[in-house]
Amino acid sequence: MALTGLMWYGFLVGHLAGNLTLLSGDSGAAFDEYAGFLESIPQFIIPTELILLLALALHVYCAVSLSREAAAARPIGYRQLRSVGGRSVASRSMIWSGLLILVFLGVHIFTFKYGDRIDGSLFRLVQETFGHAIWAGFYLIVMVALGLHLWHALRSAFQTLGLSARPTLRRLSIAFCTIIAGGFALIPATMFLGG
Amino acid sequence: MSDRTHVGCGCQRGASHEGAGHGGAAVHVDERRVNVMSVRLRVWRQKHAGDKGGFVEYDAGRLTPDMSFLEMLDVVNEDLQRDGDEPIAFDSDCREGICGACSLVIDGVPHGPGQGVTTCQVYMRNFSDGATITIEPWRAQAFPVVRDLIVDRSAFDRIIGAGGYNSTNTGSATDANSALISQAQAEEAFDAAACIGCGACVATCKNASAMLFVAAKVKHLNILPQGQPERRQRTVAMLKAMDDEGFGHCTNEYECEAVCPKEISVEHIAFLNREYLRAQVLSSGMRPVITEA
Amino acid sequence: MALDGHTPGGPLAEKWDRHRFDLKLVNPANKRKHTVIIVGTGLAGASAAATLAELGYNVKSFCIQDSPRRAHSIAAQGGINAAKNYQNDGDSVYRLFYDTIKGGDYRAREANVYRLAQESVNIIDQCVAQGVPFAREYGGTLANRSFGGAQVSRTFYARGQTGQQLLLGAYGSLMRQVHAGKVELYARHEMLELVVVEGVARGIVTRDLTTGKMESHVADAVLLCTGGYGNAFFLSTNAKGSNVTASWRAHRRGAYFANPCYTQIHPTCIPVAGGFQAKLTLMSESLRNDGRVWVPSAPGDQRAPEQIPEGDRDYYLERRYPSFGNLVPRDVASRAAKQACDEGRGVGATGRAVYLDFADAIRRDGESLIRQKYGNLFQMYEEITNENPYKSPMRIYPAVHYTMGGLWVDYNLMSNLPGLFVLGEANFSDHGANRLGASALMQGLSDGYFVIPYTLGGYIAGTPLTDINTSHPAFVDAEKEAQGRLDALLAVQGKRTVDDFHRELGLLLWDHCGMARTGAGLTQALERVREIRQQFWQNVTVSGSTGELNQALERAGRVADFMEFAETMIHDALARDESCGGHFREEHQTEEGEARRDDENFAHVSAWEFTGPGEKPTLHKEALEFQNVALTQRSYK
Repeated sequence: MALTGLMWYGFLVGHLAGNLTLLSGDSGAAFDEYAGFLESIPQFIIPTELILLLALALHVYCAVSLSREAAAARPIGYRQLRSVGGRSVASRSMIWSGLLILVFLGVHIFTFKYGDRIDGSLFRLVQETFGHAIWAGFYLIVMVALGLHLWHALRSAFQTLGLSARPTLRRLSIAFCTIIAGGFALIPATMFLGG
Repeated sequence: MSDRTHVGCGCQRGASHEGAGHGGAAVHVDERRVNVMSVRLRVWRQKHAGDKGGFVEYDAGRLTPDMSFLEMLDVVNEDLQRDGDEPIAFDSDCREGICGACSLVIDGVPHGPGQGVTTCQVYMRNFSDGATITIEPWRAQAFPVVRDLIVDRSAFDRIIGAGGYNSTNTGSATDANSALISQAQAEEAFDAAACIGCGACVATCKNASAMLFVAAKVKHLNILPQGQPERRQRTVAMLKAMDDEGFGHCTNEYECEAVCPKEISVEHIAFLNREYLRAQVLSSGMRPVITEA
Repeated sequence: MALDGHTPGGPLAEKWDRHRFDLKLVNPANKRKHTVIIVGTGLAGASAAATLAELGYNVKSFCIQDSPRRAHSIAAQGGINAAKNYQNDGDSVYRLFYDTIKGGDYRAREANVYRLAQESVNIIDQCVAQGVPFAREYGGTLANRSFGGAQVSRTFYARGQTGQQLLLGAYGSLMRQVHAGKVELYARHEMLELVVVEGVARGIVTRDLTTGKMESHVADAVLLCTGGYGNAFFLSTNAKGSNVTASWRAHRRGAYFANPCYTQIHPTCIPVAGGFQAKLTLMSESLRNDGRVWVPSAPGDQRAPEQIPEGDRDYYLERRYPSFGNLVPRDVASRAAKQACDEGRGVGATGRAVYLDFADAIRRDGESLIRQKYGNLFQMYEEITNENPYKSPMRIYPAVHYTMGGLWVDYNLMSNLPGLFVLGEANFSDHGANRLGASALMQGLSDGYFVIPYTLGGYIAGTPLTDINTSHPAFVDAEKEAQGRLDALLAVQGKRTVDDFHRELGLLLWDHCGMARTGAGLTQALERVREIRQQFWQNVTVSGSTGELNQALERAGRVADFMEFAETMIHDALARDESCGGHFREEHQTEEGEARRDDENFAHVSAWEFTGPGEKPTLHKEALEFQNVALTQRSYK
């Protein structure tokens, strides 16, 4: 779980760094150039995509089997079980935020990777899409879910990999996932408002 | 769940020999000074492992805030018996928070309100007069209900049997001061060793995982010099035993730490994960090559 | 009849060595042909079970708790003594022996106590090897503290949870043997009968507390490690489940009960708060190292403690015992508290409490140091009483804590019934009439780790036993008897609960056979106990059936045994017409109110033989010979 999740974490960092060129204010020149560069190195991109896909499959598989094991480990539940500790919105919604992200991933790839570019410009397609309130809103909601997912994911990964559960690392997790989710959310928000 | 209501258990503490405490006839607690309170209990009753079970409600009156929660149940049980009914079965022994026998989920929290306490250390002053209190047993596949609020926790014993010790036969020890252990290290080992094996960590975990229990034991032994020879084997064997017993996995929510009556830290789980990874790496052949001179 | 303790000959320091050499050995290959039953999994039981299994015996281990780790040894707080002399402060095996004999008011067997002191050093080695996290010095060596009544620092400790850590060590070793298949573990099983075949203990009858099923178990020897009988008093610091049943059942089958009147009343417990109270909580004696005990000088002083000026306070322990002060032995401290309260100077709502004040210590060392030393105890006090002991003094009162008496055993820890061994608190052997702090853990582990492995071997190697199984009439009869008793309890169908009777019995014992006893009070109590017992069998209510988990029935059986046992305890207290240690007969005290022994007539062990319920038991005496220490009046002035 932790390892496959961390691979996606790595991807997200790169993806965000690249996509922030959307906001460079040059009518998409930098972004389209960046997209073009990526498309020019399929020998690198395709294996990466395959690896990410495999990691995703494993991640989902682990999630499903963990949920099943958890259900099997407590076949009869409580009438009442209250949280008094570390359980958070993020940790208790991992499965839901995960499912939402999975759906989003399909939509996102379909829209932008396989969508019809406007005049050959991916930037224009993105601009067009985020001009619609529904699309921008959908993206913003998903980014909130992503942020929550990443928050529990990172601190949980630290713990699983035996690093630590110390408050510093917990705080670091919050900061990091805020930057990533916030960064991504900035794109549809800015483009809708600027739009 | 069939909710039968059993009201009318008025909890009269009527026997003539009560009221006077230990310490001679001179002792008499002035009953007028005592704050009287009452609560309604919603208790899980189940005759045996195969029974379906359900919640039953009881009214408990004439309680005082100075009573412990279990003393309140004692009072309820005495009344039930006077009426010829079977008392509510629950585990308890030392009644001072160290044996780990008591194990009630009170209003959704293992060991009830208060931090760092066992069920027997919960007092009625933690509840408001007239409150309805729900009492359930630990719930986990690995802790089957034996009767009412009693569960079978022998899975913990079997996990210890798999490796929770140093294999030192009696008589084979060296002098106690032959291995020096820093104060900090002894304290750290003690922090982990303080676990009382009550199972609250399992009870509260949404995955019914026993990671905190296993981690505490592994940490206690694995950081001491005496525990080194079996360090890897212990870690792997105890984790395997935990899986075999049907406990779930840890998804790092740290509820266990919050309900632990001995406030055992989830840091120990990180340690256990580290020890496990280390044991896996070392046993997969990637061990450092030792050349003999 | 005079009893023979089978103490080996030779000089004191060589007795155990010589004896070990004289004992026959069981061939290693033959050990696996022998089965040993061990009842109880506290320090004595768990250590014995683990050690005997390591040696190769087949062990069957029984406990009433859901896990062996929950035996009441787990609750011991203070520490464990050992004559390591790591502190270089003048300790030695001989000094530990001497202190223990003297602390027991010269009512223990010299040879046993010396052996205990010798083995004490091995216990610490063993426990450290198991990973027990004892307190350490900055340099990494083991730390020690002085403890109730000792003037050297020989107590090893693990915060305030020494018993827990020692038991977890022994329990780990036990579970290792369970895992290896050498020990068969029977948790939630209660021994209800000892089975004696041709005068030899050959097995037990147990009840599976989960299903109610009666079971018989055959063995070559039976070890009782079932703790003390403090719960006869209903309120004590013992766990709720602690009971005398295993010992009493063995007694009814012929094992002698020795010195049942020796009970230890611990001075530092949280006072009784109300009639609903289920048990009393001990505060570690280590508190007396820094806390000062006092009461108001004048009777009936109702002022809050902070408002009582120094001049109106009586630090009675410091006043009466200037050299030991607040650290006098437990029996002395307890009695002094009772006297202060009897004089009307007790404090708190009930008037049965004295102050234990840390104000001076906090002024001297700072609150943080006191918090570091006793934080968990202060927290425990606050949780129970809802009062902050950093701000106002604690209120404490003595409570029943430990029982020095127990089944009679010889030097080999074997009772007068061949094949029945008794270890730990369940036997009477090492503490005389008063136990010193931090000596109970030492004795339990010494018996289990280092004595029984030798003496049991000697018995098994030297005793030819016939092959029998559970269809032997003795087993069938015992099962029938145990079942009959349970049926009888259920058949009464009376009005009063088991706890109600138990409370009444306990209060009676506390008043007449507690901290102070008189001939007249004991005679009266004897009468009253009989009445209570009769009423119990006429009017007790026990619901449910025998074929299920039935906690009311379990308690009823135990209380029924306490009812019978109480009589023997009172007989013993009556017969011992002297004061010694925890047994204080008001008729026998010095002018200053201290216990006055009568060595001429009572330097013996009183071992009682069962003659029938309600019948006066027969007294057997084992003379105590003191060849190495001079009997003196104990003085802590």
